[in-house]
Amino acid sequence: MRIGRMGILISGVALAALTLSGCAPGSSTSNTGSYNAEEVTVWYLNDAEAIVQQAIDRFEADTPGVTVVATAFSNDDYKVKRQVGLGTEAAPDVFTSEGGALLAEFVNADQIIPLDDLAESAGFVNSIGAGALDSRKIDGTLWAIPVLSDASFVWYSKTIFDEVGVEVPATWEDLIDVIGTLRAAGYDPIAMANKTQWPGSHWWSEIVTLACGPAFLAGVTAGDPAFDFNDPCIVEAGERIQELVDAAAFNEGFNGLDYDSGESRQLFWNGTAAMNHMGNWLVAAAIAEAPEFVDQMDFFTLPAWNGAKGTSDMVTGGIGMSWSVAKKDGDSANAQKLVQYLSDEKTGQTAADNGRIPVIAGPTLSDPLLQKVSETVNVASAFQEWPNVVLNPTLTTVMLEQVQALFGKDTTPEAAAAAMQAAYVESSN
Amino acid sequence: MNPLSTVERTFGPENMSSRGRKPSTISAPNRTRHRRPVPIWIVGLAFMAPALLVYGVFLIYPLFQSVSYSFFDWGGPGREATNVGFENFARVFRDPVFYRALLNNAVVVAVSIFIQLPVGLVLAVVITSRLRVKRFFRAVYFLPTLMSTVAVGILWGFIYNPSYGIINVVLRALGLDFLAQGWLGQSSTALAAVMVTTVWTYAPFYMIIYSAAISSLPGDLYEAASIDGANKLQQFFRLTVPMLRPTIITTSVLALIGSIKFFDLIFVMTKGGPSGSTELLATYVFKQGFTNQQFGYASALAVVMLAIALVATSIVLVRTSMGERTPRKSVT
Repeated sequence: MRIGRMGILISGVALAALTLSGCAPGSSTSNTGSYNAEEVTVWYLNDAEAIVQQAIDRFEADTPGVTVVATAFSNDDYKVKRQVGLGTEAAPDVFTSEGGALLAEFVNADQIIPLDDLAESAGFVNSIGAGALDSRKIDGTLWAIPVLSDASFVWYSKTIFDEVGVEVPATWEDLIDVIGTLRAAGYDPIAMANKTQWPGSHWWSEIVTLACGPAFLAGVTAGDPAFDFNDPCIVEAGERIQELVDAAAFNEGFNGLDYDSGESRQLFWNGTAAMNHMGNWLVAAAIAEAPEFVDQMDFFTLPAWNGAKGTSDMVTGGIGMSWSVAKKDGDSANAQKLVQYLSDEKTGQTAADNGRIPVIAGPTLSDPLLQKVSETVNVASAFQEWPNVVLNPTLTTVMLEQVQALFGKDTTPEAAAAAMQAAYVESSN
Repeated sequence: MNPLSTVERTFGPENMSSRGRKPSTISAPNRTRHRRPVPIWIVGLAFMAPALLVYGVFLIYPLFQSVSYSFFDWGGPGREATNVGFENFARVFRDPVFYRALLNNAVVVAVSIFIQLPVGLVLAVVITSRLRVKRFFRAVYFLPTLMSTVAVGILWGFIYNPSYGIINVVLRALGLDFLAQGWLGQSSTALAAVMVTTVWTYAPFYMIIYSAAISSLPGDLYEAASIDGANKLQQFFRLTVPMLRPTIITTSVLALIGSIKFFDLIFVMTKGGPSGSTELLATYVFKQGFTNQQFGYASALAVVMLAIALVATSIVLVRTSMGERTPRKSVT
């Protein structure tokens, strides 16, 4: 009897649990919390702490009684944290995203609010410009305020290039020669840390754009059913990647090294590696980590090979750090006001002073490297957005994995293309 | 103070209807007071309540939740969910990455049972021997288990670093440059490299369990064995190992379950890469859920993982308990 009663109790609890768990997930999660009149919470990427902090300080000084609680995360942690946090009571009021498929996801899930009115009253069309704002519009509605612009380049050490006696390569074939010369001289030609996979995907997107032409990847972004990863040009891009690997272009074990903990940057700063393929935030990193190295740095865009559909003056990149406001109950005025501080001219100037390229008009780029970056982007014949930002998450994961396998020679260009195509078909359904 | 009197106060007859069944009750310690007794299951439940609550909220409830999520196509909190029936499970068995992760998990299981446990046992024999410095060795051997696994992962990341890691530096100093390589960065060596770290980290844990068991073994048996001329090696295989059988079974089950749900070191050291060569079931669940935002599919994977752990554990338990019974039957 004793067991019997205990058994009844347990099965009762279990039944209750089952009934509770029988509900569809999400059906009862409309409670996303409300804005706090005295506090604004902010989540952002930790590569912009100085830039964000000065805006918060000015906001707090101008808004008595309101404090800002800002948390900065490293790249991979941030993506997970944001994904899980949004749509719950733990969601931040204000946060950054990279746009693309992610932003569309937030809109579909009804997690962020339109910022058209804020843009209107703050005059963002004049300061930020219609083009940049349009990139954050979905069906005519503005969902995020873009602040920084990023592009990736091949950075090189002028000291090592002079010492070894090589010139900036004008063609892909020259690049392969330069790699051979640098390797023979005892240097790692190109520093790379690809454990987190996106550094490899930046290479891939640039090489694909060279192989397939600048309009090609737009098809996959738009979800065009005719788009096919098995296209010979994607396979050729894979072969070009493996051509670099075969030329011993990279430091040993690069697929196991971590960019976030600086394992590729160190090789570049300390003169072990002669080149580093990276976004222009590398300038900001150099200012912070190896200020004496900044003068030795210069960059070039990845050169095209003979017969490539793209040209050497194309640029791959994206608009980093766009501010969105989470949808909550109550008055979002403070959150929107903070976004205004985070997107104004002073923030743009701080960004420029810290080695970043603001999309905001007005700030002066005193650093000659940054001026050159800005000019290169302005005169580029085409601008390809980084696919790891604009593709849907499942396809992105497969693309990152396959590109890492291409670099590790764990797959063939044909097999990698087929795997991406399979993921594209599956995730489009 | 007698704990029972507290129970009596809390669950006294004025609060609880007691039917007064003798076998199911605890009577007050002082029989002369003739207090009406509290049913034992209430007392039991009361003592278990805090733990049960934690267990229920953080284990039982999420378990049922996870099972229910596995039937949905769901992008995470706040998103619409659609019921897809068993489609998520069908997808698990179509997914090549699942099989790759399963295979890698099998390697982890094999390494923990056939390398980690024996290493733990040997270390235990060393620290329970009559060595003078055994206290020193015990402290040194146990150190890895005291460290947080994230710290261990980062530390071994430095050790394996291709340019300044101690392994490659030593190899190069010995003139063995051709052996120096990017241990964690190539699919041929990454899993083996992480496995070395797991043995380093977890073998000492089993060492402690084995050494406790060894010190409780009867010493006269060893004396008798050495009088009969058995050397140390014979004593180890003929006495120590057979007598440790129950402990070895327990540790095998622990190692088995631990290996099936293994996550932290892999996540810190390789993130499942390169090229999926160290992908495990648990890292794949994480990737599908938190990176790909496929919480329904991730739940289905987790349910399959749980089923595998349950089946594997029951096989070990049933087979070993059968082995225990057989000799007894022959005696009776």
